[in-house]
Amino acid sequence: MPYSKDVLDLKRHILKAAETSRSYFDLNKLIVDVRKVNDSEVPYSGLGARSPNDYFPSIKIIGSEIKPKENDVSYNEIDTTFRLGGRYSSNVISTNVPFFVSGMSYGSLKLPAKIALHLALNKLAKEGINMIMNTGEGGALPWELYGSEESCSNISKKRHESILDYAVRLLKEHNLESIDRDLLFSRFYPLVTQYASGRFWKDPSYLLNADAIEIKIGQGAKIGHGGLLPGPKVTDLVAENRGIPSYKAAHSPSRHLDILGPEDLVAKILELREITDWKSPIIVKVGCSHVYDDIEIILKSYADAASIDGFVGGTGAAPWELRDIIGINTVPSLIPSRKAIEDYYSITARDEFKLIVHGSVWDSERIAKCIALGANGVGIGTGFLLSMGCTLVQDCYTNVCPAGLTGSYEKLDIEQSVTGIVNYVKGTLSELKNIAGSLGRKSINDLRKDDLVATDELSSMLCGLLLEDGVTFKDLVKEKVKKAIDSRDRRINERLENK
Amino acid sequence: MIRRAVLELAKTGIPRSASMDDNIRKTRDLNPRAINLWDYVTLIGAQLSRPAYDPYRETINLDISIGIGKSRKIVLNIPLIIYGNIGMDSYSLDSLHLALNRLAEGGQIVGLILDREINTKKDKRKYPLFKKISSISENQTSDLLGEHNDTCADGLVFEYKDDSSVDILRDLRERFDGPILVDVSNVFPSFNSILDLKTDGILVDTEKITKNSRYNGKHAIKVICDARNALNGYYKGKEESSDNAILVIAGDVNSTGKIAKAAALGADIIGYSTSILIANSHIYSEKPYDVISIAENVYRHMIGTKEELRGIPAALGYSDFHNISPSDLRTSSIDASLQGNIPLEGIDKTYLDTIGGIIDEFISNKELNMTCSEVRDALKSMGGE
Repeated sequence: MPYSKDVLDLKRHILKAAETSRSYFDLNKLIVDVRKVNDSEVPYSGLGARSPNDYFPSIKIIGSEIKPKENDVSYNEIDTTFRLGGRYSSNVISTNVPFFVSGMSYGSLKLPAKIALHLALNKLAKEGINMIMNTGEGGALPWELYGSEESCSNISKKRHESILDYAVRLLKEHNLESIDRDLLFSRFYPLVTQYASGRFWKDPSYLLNADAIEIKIGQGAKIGHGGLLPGPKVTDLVAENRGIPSYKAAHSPSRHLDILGPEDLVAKILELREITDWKSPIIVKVGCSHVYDDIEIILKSYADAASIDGFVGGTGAAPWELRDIIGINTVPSLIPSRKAIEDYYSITARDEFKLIVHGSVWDSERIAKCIALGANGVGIGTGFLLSMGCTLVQDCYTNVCPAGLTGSYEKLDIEQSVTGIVNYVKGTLSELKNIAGSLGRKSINDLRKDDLVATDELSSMLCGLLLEDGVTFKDLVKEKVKKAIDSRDRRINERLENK
Repeated sequence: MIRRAVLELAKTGIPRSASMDDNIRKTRDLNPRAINLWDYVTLIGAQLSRPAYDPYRETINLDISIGIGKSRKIVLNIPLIIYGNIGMDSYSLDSLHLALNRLAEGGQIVGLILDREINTKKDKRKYPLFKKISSISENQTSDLLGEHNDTCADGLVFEYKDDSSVDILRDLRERFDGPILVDVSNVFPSFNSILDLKTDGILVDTEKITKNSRYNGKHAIKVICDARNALNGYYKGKEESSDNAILVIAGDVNSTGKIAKAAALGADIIGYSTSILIANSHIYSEKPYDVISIAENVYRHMIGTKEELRGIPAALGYSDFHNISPSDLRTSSIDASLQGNIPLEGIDKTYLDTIGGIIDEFISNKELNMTCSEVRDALKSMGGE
């Protein structure tokens, strides 16, 4: 954020006062204090929290290669299928990419970035790479929902006209009138619409025209805090899309007012099932906290999948301190989530329930680690932003973004962004196939815990993995106990000898 | 590292030669960062199994009362008392005074601990002042304990030095009707005899204590955890358990995140020094000193902090800040688990409990033959006490 001179001066003065005081201050956080001094508001930040231990680097995939050493080795035949639905829904989304675009809404992202994602996914779909995209809380864009004649059949002619008019105004405001309308007004990839506590949608076609629905209970970056779009980002067109007043911060309720417990979740899912004639797969997304209990509740509802979002999961805007102190990391959430699923199916026949993981997953190896630890699919947000040029300055909550993604939209080169996304997806998919292939697996879904080792005690303990030298965590404890007893005995003997 | 990993793929679309985690491992080995255990401790938020409160639409309580038994009660609307081992000039003090008055006028009462007089001639004090004392002469006694007025302290912070302090404290308790907080940093963690004297609160300065030989190398979370355990141990089984002395934690707790974590570990009130830092910033400013604008800075900062504090219990599913408890904490560090007795994330048990469980399993499977004392010694060698 480009701070005013006064704010920067104040930061300099407070920094000097902190340095000369004898007390310890977290100097990295001084800017948070300065911002409170400046406007008495709660300081926001974008993207995810910085976790000093997100466990991923302490877990290794044994003997795998993301780039085969021999050039003639090709693992193109490796199966990377991900299926969503079929547990209760009659429709099943089948894709050949086990990772997808996490919810990033229009408003949080500026229009060119949203269009780049849309066009890139269309391009990938035409090349046979079918990847899911989530709309995020702020509602879908006209071409995402009303790209086909069929999709317009469940809205009135008047509504259709108003949607087209809105689309024209959107493009005009962003100087994108020259964009190829045929290319824009088509969608070849599966779309998941988010049903969040803000309920920013105007008619049931938002739900009917999507391929799946995600009920968002919470997200990793602001667990227990509803969605948030700061006032300056609520432009007239964003406000119109969401049905809210312009330039006023959109604070979604921190909980769904009609989902206060397990029974309410069941009732809500049944309501959505009725609206969609039991066709659409339904996902329930939670931020990682009491994951075992939450997954247990989701399993017993009529959901097709659960989605968990770890501590490092990103956001367009969250209270800075809250983002950095609430939540647990992705790997420690994945383990109890999988356990809850295994416990549930130990007494019930196995079905098509799926577990999707978000938060601190950016590359193929991390996706593979998640799958080996029990995830079925992985959601990625920041990775896609990076492939469009994100510089990680975390100012997504402002209208100023050095890459033109969440602000300063005129800076974004849509064509270049589409190429970046397509390359990122293709490269990651190839790497994933290489990882599975180099381990001799026919499918990415065949990756197991046995393919992993831990490089430290904590990861071994948490994930139940062997340590690098082949020792289990229990063996390590036994060794430590024996050493402790030996050292005690030695001390006693030494004392006796001295006497 | 993340950016480089993704950009490489976005540029070429072909597999890389090394993964991001390989590179992180290499860098981590080369450049081990200084570890602050606070960063490894997080709180677990409310989701499906416990719905969140909404700080924008619902009331979230931050109030706390100081004073037990017959002591005069002081209610703070934000669980903070301005306090720190940082020098302040008279300008800084005037700004702080104005800011706290303005907060009090708006119904946001925050306390101040001070070891000297405050100039209240222009503006009458509207917030509670705690006078810090270590020894006391007859004159001071009459000043301190005289008729209650705006120049006289509402409460006392007595620095307990050694056994000779008992008599002074007893005398103070008999003659002063306001709350007395005792700074036990010099004798920590043995303060049962102090609680016997109907002390209203215990003040623990983590910075001072971690410089003591017993706590050398330990973190503030260990100090807070031990302080809370000592207080709970004292009151266990006692009748007046609903009217206990409060725990004030000062030192390395100077951001909203740390305040919430310290509260979860057992702190009732935080001795907060960031306001002093902001008041002192004028010393380094090139502009002429302006008491009102500095006071305004302190005020705005406190309002922002209060709003942040309201958001935290709400996100954890509580309508009261003081409901945050150790069960809301998780850590991603074995050291933090050992020092703060905090459950590890994903396991929901402390490190020692997990190890203890494994040892029990070994014993019941006859893989190990150990006596209770041997188990205790083994656990101690792994960091337990």
